[in-house]
Amino acid sequence: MTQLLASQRFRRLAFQSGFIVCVGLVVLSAILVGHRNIAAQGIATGFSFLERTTGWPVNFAVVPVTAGSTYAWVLWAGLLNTMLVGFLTLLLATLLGLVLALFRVSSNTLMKLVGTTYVEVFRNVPVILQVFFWYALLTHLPSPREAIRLGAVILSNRGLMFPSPTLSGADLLILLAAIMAIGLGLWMSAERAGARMRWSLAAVLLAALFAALLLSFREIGEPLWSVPELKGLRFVGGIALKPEFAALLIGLVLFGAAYICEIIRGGLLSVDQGRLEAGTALGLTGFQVNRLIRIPLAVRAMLPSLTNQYVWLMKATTVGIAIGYPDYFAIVSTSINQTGQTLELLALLMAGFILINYSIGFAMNRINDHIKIKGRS
Amino acid sequence: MTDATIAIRALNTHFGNYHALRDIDLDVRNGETLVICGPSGSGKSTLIRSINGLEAYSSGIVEVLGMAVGDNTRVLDRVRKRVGLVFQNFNLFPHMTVLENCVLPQVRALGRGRGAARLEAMAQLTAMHVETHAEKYPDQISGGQRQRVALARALCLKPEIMLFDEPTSALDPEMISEVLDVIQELARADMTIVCVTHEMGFARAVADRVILMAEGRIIEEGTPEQIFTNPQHPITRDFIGAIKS
Amino acid sequence: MAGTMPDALIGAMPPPVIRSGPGAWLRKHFFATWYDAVFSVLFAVLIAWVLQALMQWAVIDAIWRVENRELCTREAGACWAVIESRGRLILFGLYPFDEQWRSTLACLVIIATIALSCLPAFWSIRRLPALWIAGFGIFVMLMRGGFAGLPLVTSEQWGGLSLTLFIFSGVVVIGMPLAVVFALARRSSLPVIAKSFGFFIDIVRSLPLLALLFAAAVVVPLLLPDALAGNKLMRVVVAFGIFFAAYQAEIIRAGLQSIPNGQDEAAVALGMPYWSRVVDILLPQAFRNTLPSTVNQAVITFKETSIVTIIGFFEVMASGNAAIGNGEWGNQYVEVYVFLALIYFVFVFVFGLSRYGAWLEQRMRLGHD
Repeated sequence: MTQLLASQRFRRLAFQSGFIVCVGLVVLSAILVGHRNIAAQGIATGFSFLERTTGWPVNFAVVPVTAGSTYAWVLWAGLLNTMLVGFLTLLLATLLGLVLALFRVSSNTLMKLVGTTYVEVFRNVPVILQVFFWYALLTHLPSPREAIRLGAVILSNRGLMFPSPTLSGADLLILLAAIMAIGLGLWMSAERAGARMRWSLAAVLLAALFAALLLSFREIGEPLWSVPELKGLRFVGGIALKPEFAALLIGLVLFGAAYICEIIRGGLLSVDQGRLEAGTALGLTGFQVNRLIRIPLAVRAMLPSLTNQYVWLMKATTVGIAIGYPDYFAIVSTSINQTGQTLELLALLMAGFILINYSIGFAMNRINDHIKIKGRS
Repeated sequence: MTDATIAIRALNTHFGNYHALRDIDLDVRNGETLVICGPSGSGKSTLIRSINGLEAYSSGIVEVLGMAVGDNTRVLDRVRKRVGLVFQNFNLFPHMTVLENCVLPQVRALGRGRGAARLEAMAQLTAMHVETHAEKYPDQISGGQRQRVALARALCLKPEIMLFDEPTSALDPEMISEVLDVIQELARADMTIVCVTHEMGFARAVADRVILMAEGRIIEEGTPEQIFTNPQHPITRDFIGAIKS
Repeated sequence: MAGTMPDALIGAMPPPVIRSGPGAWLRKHFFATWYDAVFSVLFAVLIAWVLQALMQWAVIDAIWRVENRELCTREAGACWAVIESRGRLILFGLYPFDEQWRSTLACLVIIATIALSCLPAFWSIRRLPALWIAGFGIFVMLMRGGFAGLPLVTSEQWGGLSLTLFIFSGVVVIGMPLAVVFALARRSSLPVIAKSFGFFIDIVRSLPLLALLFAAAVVVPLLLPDALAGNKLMRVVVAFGIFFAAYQAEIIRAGLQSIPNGQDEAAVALGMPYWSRVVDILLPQAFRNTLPSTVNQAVITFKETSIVTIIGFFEVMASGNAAIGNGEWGNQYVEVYVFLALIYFVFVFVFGLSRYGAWLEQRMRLGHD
């Protein structure tokens, strides 16, 4: 018997089986206790609540949401809200981060100073504090009657208003889908036609679509452009960015840009100096060395860290609940309060985020595989 | 079984589809110094590491000091306390001083008190002529010194068998002799030694027996004189010819 | 002879000039090209203007004492009086006024613990855990009281910076040992253990922290028998600790992977038992190898404690918002938020990767230990 106990093969088998049994027991007991507690509180289980109407309003959504919408619809609106602020944040933070990174690697000392100060300040303050700050700032703007006007742009405590072309929400979604389709087409035809022709074709297509949407389904005499105007106590026309959305976006973009700047800078610095010198020795100008050698190699180096940062920023949109932005988490949380269907809703929450993060990871990995330097592993 | 200190019968080792050791039969007597030679990939390291259980094998028997080396963790524990192994890459613990490298295994493996462990450690380091480096860290001393410290560390456990896996292959040429000298002292003190090496001069001076391995088999066996001056097997002849030149 | 040499040289050109001296330094750093020059001038003006405005607002026109509160209008400078008036609320929350010497002492104990952790003298597998458990234990005993004549102050009344420090140190004390367990489990040679822990770590790392803490606060009581549920603060700290452990486990795992295999083989050959190989040989090296990442993770965790304000805990963000409130200090949100930012800045910047991390990396490059 002791012979058996001391045998490594037996020990491994026994340990692993014991582990599975323990985990199984814990999960089982959690389910049993959960069942008992939920039944005691008189809450039904299952996902049938998704067809019920919510009875409460949502103050911001890209799709039409009313108090009479179903839970399924409202949750979908919340997911779209998260994706809206999330993808916009990724885009803007990357652009700003790129500019800052270029500042930090330039030889101009003042540029470097500005870049470094920005990164150290915005990186070291928690993101929720930054979002609170911007929200407080935006809600302390003057009321609509005394709003600050910069040309046609109006800043008030009801939000930031811009003039905009008269497109409905559906139009915008069609436009977004078209951009993605064209982008996909561009990427897939990368090997064939020349770059300049493809990009011009894409631009022409997009412009044509935009004009078509603008001009179709229009009543006679309706203006192409809509400008926000004060009517009574509110503004009518144009696009209004609510303070909740604007504050969350600004806070996340400024915070994210600091981290993305460091990642881009790391990528740029990781390019071997020898290769840049080889480019110069071959007669390439500074610009050409950057465009043809430094940036392509830097992009390949920074892609994994960038992916991590994007996933993190997506998850950070959940702080929107603190200032009243109805992102996916906020909607789930309110729904739990209203229906008590805690477990189902939390499962939906986790599924939603795993889905978004998996998509980002998937897309970035595809890009990584496509641009990866062959022959290295 | 036999009264041999190490007895290996019909040893076969597979790594996936690769047949690394084929039907090895080997006896090592008490106090004997055995040298294993052969081209790279012949399974010399695998064989010597099977003796103290660092490599698992597929079939056969490995008996060390009367204990069957196999799956039994308790037996493996006992075997490893009586068999020492010196690696090609020294494998000293870089975050500890030389002295601590020798003291810690005694405290943990044998349960000795720290005071007794330190005394033993200093004694072994002195025997290896590296006692002046006791408070230094491994990357502050030379390769030859590191290997001697590794040997001292193994000897602190007072093993009855010492295994050497190409102990000088990672050393700069000028440091090879200082390591071979201390191994020679060990051999003269009647320690049972199994050593994998290419150093022919050393084998000639110290080995009681030399075996040659190729492609996982023992292809020739004999005294150093027999092997180095009158090799029989064609592979042996090629190999000896290659090292001589 | 093949005609490769030109018949006459093109015309000797002067060698490239290597300039030095202050003029050249200025030129290179500020005026290298024409757009550099434009930027330099533009930024110089911008920076000067910003600094001047900042000084004007924050120092010259600022109002510091509460007596002068009436002077705090929108046109005046910074109203730092809010700090004097509400400072205690921000730092200690609703802790009883007479006992606030205890919370001050407790906070200093934690700060000392963090500071001592940075000294290499404490970097042993025995001293560091002992230090943190002692520091955390003293903190809890001081804050809670209930013995030796100290009145009891339960955790519901802890708030402000002291609550932030409690959550942070609780997360570290729970999370670090868990991280070691997770890392070792993921690297285990038993496939069932390695895969299930790997799966668990990956799931935890892909979820938002807020969702995890929310689940701990709201869902877990449903799944546990009442005796085990504990109070909300405990559950949230444990969940946060698990989240921290998942991230730290990956860092430790990378550190373990960077140790050459031969080390463990030598330890096995010397007959050292598993626990000794892990504790004496592998973990010390793994931690040393990944010290910058570990420090970075700790800094990020300190900033992330601000998230718990959403779950309803009265830590320093919430107490800051309460200090502003809707009452007399409603317009002083900038001053209060700047004060909060400074608090975080001190912890994060001083201990953070920026400075300490750079010092660490330098130190590791020069020698060991």
